[in-house]
Amino acid sequence: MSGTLLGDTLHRVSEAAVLEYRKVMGLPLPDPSAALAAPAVVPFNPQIYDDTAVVRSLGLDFSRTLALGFDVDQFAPVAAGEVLRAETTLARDDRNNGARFVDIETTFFREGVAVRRWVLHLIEQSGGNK
Amino acid sequence: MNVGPVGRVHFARFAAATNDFNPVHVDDDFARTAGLPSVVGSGLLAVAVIAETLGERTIGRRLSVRFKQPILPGAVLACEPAHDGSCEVRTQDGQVVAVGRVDSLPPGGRRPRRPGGVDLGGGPPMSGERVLIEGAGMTRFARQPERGLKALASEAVSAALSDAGCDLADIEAVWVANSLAGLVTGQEAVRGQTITRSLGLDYVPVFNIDNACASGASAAYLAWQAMRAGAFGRVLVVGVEQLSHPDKRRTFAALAAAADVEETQGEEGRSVFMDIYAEAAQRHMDRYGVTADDYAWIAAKNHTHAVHNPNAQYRTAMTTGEVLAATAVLPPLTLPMCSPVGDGAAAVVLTTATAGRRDRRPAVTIAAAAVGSGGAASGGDPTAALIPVAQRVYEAAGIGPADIDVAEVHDAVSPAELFAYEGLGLCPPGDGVKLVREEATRLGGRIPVNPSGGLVSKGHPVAATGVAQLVELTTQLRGQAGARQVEGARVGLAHNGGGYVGGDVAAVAVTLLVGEDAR
Repeated sequence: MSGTLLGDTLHRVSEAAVLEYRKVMGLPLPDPSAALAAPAVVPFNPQIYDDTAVVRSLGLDFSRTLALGFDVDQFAPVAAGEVLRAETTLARDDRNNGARFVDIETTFFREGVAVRRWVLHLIEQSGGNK
Repeated sequence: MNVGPVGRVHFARFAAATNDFNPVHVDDDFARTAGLPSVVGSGLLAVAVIAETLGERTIGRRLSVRFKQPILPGAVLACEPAHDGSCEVRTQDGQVVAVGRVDSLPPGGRRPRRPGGVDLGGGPPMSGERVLIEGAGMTRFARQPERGLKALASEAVSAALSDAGCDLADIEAVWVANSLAGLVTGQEAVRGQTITRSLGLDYVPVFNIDNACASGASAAYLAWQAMRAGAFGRVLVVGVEQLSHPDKRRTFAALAAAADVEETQGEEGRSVFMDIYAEAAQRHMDRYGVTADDYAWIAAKNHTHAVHNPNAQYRTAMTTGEVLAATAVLPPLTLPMCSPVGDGAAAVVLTTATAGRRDRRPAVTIAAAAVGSGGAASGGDPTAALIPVAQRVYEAAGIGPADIDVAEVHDAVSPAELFAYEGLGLCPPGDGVKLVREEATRLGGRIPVNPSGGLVSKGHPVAATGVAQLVELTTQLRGQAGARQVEGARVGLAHNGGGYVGGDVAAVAVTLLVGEDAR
């Protein structure tokens, strides 16, 4: 793995969070009796990773930090209820013209095999008058 | 797909669902201090809209999203996929808030680079079918020239099929690794087909693979790649070699052909590789303070491991002193530090998770594999070619050397095992000798290496070796290795090297296996 290791934890893809997420998105809710028997593919997983905590741990100022983009490598489907190991690394931490560019990379593993990797690209703008 | 209008309540509920507690999504006052007109929706809300729109088209692919504008309360978000795989999220007034694009996964994730910036090229893509080792079997390794390639391969294949709980009719393709039969037995060109026909396995694709001593792992790598691409559901990989011959000169001449014959000449009566390895071993002694005792400890360890391996060529425990006192080959090598001439075969049945498994034992997955070759810049460093290959495998699997529970490495001579410790990252460069002096790599140690006995004791029938390493690791990861079992082994690594060209190894392969309970 490259980058500085920020954390190595277990994450559960919460079924409750998946349902809440689908409500927010206005998506049809799965039949609760069928959901556990045949968990649906979760193309984007709510509540398996708290990037806010990582952002805080890096000392970034929320009021000056913007997300520039997000890359997701979907190696395999992930289902609601799965427990995945997540390894978070600081893939980039550069300063340019007073701005700080940070890439936080998290890889999720099932049985030791990477199933998903995402990279959050952040910029902390220069302090200015704040 | 249309979402909204979305408002403060949606932003807050989405923040709760995604554990995103950035106050710009829920606190108007804070958002204004950040220069925003009000709270804004999470950028991941736009990602979610794009991901939902594209659905399963993102599986096995990379989804890249770039944020253009904040999502403000009252926005109605609309997203339609374009034919080129891109996707824009627009508000009701046509403003683009995010742009997404679906692309192929980058080969091998990030490409490892050598110091100096030489791009090593892509490794295997991490997408595709999960490939399992369903069955594994091998012959005993020994001098058995009377048996021939077909009989050796047949025994290994039968064992692997039986182990997998399937039969020949289930096999869709075969990779046959063999390196030296052309020179030892005269059989060239269609070695694999002579074997499959003798088995009664007709009308399936057969691929003949030769990559010197790394032929077995190379064959497994190619089969794995084909299966990940979805070409086959269940295949056979066989490594077979008949190396011994009544005329020893023929055996040594065949081995010499695994080096560049225009640049290498060995002494008659021994493999040219002993000269090459002895020189590298001496350099490591000079540079890092390794002693002949250290190399002898590795040999003694592996000979002692092999006592518990019924398929090993030699099954006699040795002490470091006995190894040092044995017949000298070429300083610092003595005979028990050198892999013997022998014959044998090994086979594995590979299947995809989709095709389903016939056996009910704990699954063993090929998490990642890579093959590389040496180069002119190695400067005699025996780890130069191995390091980038191992890094590619670790990157692809998301598993590092600290996660490895058991390793089978290519100890064609015992010093090569110490080189492998360093090349695989089991220790920092030059610290292989520390692992030896801590006895970390013996059974019961911190990272057991070559519980099978390794090449020096289990034996080294060239093209069978790489497949036999997978057989051993499968046995270990299933917890079926008996007295040589590495307790709790869940992640296993195989390192198979081969040949010599231009001052460096010709081929090197690393395969990473993961047992069922590994996280």
